[in-house]
Amino acid sequence: MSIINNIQNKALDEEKQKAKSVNSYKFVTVRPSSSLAALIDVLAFLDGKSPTDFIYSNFGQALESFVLESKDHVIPLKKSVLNCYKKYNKTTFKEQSALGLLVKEGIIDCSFLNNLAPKNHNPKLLKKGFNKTVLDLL
Amino acid sequence: MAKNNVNTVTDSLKVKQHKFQDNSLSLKNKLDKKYNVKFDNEDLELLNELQSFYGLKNKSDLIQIILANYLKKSLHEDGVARDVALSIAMIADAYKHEEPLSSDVTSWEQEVISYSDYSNKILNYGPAAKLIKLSNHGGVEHSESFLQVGIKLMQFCERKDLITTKAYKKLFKALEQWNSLIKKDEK
Repeated sequence: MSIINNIQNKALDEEKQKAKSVNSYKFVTVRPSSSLAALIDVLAFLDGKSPTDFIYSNFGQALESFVLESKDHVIPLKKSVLNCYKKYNKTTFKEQSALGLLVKEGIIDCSFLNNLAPKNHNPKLLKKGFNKTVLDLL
Repeated sequence: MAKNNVNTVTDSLKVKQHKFQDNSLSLKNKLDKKYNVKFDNEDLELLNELQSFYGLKNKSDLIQIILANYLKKSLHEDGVARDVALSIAMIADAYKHEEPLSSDVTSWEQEVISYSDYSNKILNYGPAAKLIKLSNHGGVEHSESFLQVGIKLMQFCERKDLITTKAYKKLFKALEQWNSLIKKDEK
């Protein structure tokens, strides 16, 4: 293996490690109506959780259920799978997330992402044109 | 200097005090609640796409629709959520009752529960099965939480002025009484 290949592989590994260590969630402010807030309070109370934890632990299922309500959601679903792949290099999804649940239940099959991985992934650590310059040198 | 000017202005301003009501308002409960919730990136990507598909400006609106949709479904399922549905049913039942309710829990079978389906479920699986001994069933594990949720829901209804009848008040007291009976029984 050439030195150039070694450098490239090292950069790829670093990028992968970096992607794994980045937080895989974000915080969003949710403002439910007073009646929905009351229902969330009651169900969270039954579940022995805080309302925020209750929403977090149920949202994947809720989103999955919503997505399955209409065939119109197929296109947004496909786009979101590709976005996850492009942004986070994700070929698998968290089990409790809506996408994870849809994969687990066999409703979507994302195995094709594994074939895309080496070709389309463009690590951020390699500066623009770096690969091209390296190839030119060879 | 500036403070003195303010005092001069406020002293000079004449106010017709009698035009104001004598209420002390608590705005804290009137404001909508907001929760800062953690979302997985995968779910957020899907939310973004759905938000753009429906042309919604605010992500929180979409989250609200999704949660309401899911929780409504959950209320129809068996298990803990069913108890909430039963509690709501009991409140509704008490609300439509014209006759004053007895606070004696043993008479609930006749006085509170008029719809037989709820009656069967509560008596077979709820805390009534334990206390009135109408059934050999030991009651579901979460029978106590059933009562707590009933009380919590009723407190909510009271706060929101949803139920103001005497029947509701009596039912609320009976629930409290029942809850304390269960706690004593556990000790």
